[in-house]
Order: sequence, then structure tokens, then C-alpha cells
Amino acid sequence: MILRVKDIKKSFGGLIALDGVSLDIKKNTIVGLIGPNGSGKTTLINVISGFIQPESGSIEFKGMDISSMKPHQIARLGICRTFQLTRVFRHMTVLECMLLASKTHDTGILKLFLNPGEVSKKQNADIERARNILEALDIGHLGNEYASSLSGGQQKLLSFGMVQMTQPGFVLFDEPVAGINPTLANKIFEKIELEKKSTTFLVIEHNIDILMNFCDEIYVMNKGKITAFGTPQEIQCNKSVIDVYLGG
Amino acid sequence: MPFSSQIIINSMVTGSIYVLIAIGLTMIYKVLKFANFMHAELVTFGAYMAYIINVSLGMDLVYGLIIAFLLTGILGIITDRLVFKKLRSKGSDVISMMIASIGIGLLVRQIIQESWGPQLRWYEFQDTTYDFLGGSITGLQIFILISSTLLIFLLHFLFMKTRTGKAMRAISDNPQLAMACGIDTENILLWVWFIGGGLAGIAGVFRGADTRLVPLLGWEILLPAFAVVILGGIGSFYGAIIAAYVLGFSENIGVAVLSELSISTGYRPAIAFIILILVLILRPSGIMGTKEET
Repeated sequence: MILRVKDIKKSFGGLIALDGVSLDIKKNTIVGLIGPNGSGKTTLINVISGFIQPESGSIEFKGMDISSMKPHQIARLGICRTFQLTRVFRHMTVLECMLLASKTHDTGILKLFLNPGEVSKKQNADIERARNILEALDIGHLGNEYASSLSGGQQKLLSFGMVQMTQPGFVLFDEPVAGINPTLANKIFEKIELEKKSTTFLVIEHNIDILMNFCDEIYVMNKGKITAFGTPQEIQCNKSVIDVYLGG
Repeated sequence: MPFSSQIIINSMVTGSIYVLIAIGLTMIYKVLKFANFMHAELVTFGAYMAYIINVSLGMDLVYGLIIAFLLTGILGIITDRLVFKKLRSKGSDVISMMIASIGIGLLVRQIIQESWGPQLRWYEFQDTTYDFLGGSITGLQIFILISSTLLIFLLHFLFMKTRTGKAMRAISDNPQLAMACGIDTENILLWVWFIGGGLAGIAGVFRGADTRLVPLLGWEILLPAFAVVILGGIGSFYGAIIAAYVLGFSENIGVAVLSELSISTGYRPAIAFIILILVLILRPSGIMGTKEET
């Protein structure tokens, strides 16, 4: 298992958002996380990525306890996350956003002065990698545009490109294709499937057809608890899931 | 003669001092989203730190300038760790942060006043006056102009080329995404306070050397500094640079006009107020600000 979440609890005032959630996620899989609005899916991603501290329970990534780590420390371990509402650095160019996401893009002040040759070499390699990723996402021509000038769909693609740029071991996707046309949504998931060789994905998504086509396993949440788990076929036949989520 | 070469020189010097203060204010506003009133006292603190080195210890003012930069930057970090970090961790709003900054500012100013008294003081240094295009410029003024320009280019290099500078821009743009990209925001904030505070310290030494030292040194130029930040477009680094010189010219031309009209030049501070009010009415987003930033 690459990620083990054990008995996580979190409440906000009187509202119990996570009530003993446990997940086991195998390496190099795409795992779906579904559930009605307010079931605790985004809170779970916030807890795993360190943005919210759980009240109890533990989270292990590659055998290491990360439950008390800060978001940037978790990101540096190779866990990358996206946000439900697409976030990009609006006042930076597309290329700058991509470079900032790269872990190898280390242009520290001292290094710039002490070893400018090495920095420049790394930077050129990063720029080439960023351009290749942007080309593959059909937004290669927008490298010098400000991220704020991109359309909603293009910002989603940039956000996906930034994820690829981090070369993550594990990605937490919070509705990566919400509001995107079906053709583009399928294209993004085809790319996610290609990345599966080196990366593991936990994906919150409401598009059931996409989840059924691309996920290896699916967890279902309701009222802060995991209520079902299985392969897409098993989930599709689960009566409680149909009642709660798939709507008969 | 509103556009005499002397007015241009004086305006450039005034603008150079405003720019150093406004950049620090802008940096802190961009990442922490509050108007840091304590910035005025960082200016005064820097000026008096250089006074200790220059007058009390009898060393060259250049050493005073370097020490003022370092100590004021460190004071910025200390106040952040002791006060603002704690407020952030408690989820305090920007109003609480602003009021806290006024409180710390008062404390720093009172300590300075208690230590050195309210009387005017001067640095000890030799200055030479040169003729320049029909006007005169002092060695100090040349030093202020050159070093401010160099600092602006260094900051541009920092923001555009270094990971630390890019991280500052990223945090001001979207702090949560910055964290998700692996940026240690608290560590970057230390740099913001150090550089912003240090620049205020340098501005204090320049202002003190160009005029005189007094515990209200920073407070006197806080309003023009805020006017610069608003005129430039709140949070805009490049806007603040342009606005600093615009205000520098407006003040000095305004003073010349007031003299020609036989009106007291004591109205000089009102020029910043008038510009501030006009900008807020006519173009609240400033020279380079966007609606989103205001």
C-alpha cells in the first residue's frame, strides 16, 4: 500500500465531517472517491494533504506517518493535490506557473551566484519539459500568456500540467474535469491513465461514466463515513450506493 | 520655474526614498494583505541604528547604512514571529493585524523617543556639492539615486529570477496553491519581512542624512508612502516604483508653485493628501493595479 488512512476523525463545531474514515490505496492505481455533496470528500483530501489537521487517526505514506506534517512538507514527499475550484497563479505566465511547480527548479539566490552554469542548465531542462507537457495538453502556444487570461478549461489543463510538472508519486484530484466538455474530460483521464505507470491517483469525481471507465477501485462516502468499497462493477451493483448516490 | 533642473534632482531624490519605503509596504501587503503602519517606525529605527554606528561609535555612515539594513530587517522578522505569526495562527483578520501594527509602531517610536529624546540630530559625514545642469547636487544625493536604482534592479532580479522571489509572488497570488507546490510559506515570510524591513531601514538613513533625525521621521513620510502604494495600484511592485517618482515630482513642483504664488510651503504634505484623494475618486485601482487587487 502506498497510502494508508486509518480511522480519521474531524469535526467543525458540531458538524462531524469525517467519522472514522479508513482507506488503503495500492500503488499505481486510480482510485475514485464518490459521494453526495457534503459527504466529506474534500475534507478528506484536505486532511491527507495537510491543509486540515485531523482530531484523531493516522495517515501513512510509503510507511511514513504524515498526519502531523505541514502542506509544503507533504507536497515535497511527492503528494500533489489540486483544488475543487481550479487554482493557478493568476499573475504569473503559464510557463512560470509550470516552473514553480517543478521540484528540480531550484534557482536559490546563493546557487544563482555560486553556480550559474548548473542553474541555467537545470532551468533549460525544466523549460523544455514544461513546454513538452504544455504541447501535449494543446496549450503549448500559451506559454507566455498570463494564467488569468486563460479560459476555465485551459486553466484546468494548466493545473493538470502543473501536477505533471511536480513528477508526483501520488496525486489527490478534487474534481479534475468538473465543468469541462466530455471530449476534453476523457482526454484528461486518458493522460491520467498513462501516468498510472509511475503515479497513484485518488480522484474525487461526480462523472460516474468516467470513473467506471478509468478507476481500478472506488470508495463511496456518505455523512463522513466510507459506506462502500470495491471495483467499479461491484459499486455499480451495490444497492446502498444506488440508493444514496446513483439515485436508482 | 516649475521644471528647473534643481526640481528634477530634488524630485528624483524624494522619489528614490519613497520607492524604498513603498516597496516594503507593498511586499508585506501583497503576502499578508494588511496595511503595515509599523513600517513608519522601521524607517525611524533604521535611521537611529545608523546614528549609533555613525555618531555614537564614530564609524563611517556607509557602515551605519549596512547595519541599519540588517537590524531593521531583523526587527521586522522579530515582530512577525512575536506578534503577526501568532495572530495568523489564530486566524485573525486584517483589521486586527493592522491595529497590532499601529500598536507595535507606537511602542517602537516611544522607545526611540525615550532613548534619544525629541530633539533634532544629524549624522556626521562630509558632503560635497556639485553643479549639475544649472542646479546643484550633493554627493549624498548621487549616492541615494544610484543605490536606490541598484536596489530596484536587484529586487526585480529577485522577483523574476530566484525561487525565493517567485515563491513570494506565488504566495501573494494564491497561498494555498503555493503550499501545495511545496513552498514553505512561513520561511518565505521571513524573507519578506527581512527585505521589506531592511529597505525601510535604508530609506530611514537616506531621509535622515538628506534632512535630519527626529523620532517622527518615519511617521512624517508614512502618508506619502501610502499615497505611493495607492497611486501605484495597491500591491503592484512596478506601479509603486512609478508612483514614487510621480509623487516626488508632484511634491517638489507643488512646492515651487506654492512659492511662486507666495503661499507657505508648509502645505507640502497636503500634496500627498490631495493626490491620494484624487486617485481614490478617479482611479481607485491606481496606475498598474487591477480591479481584483484593489
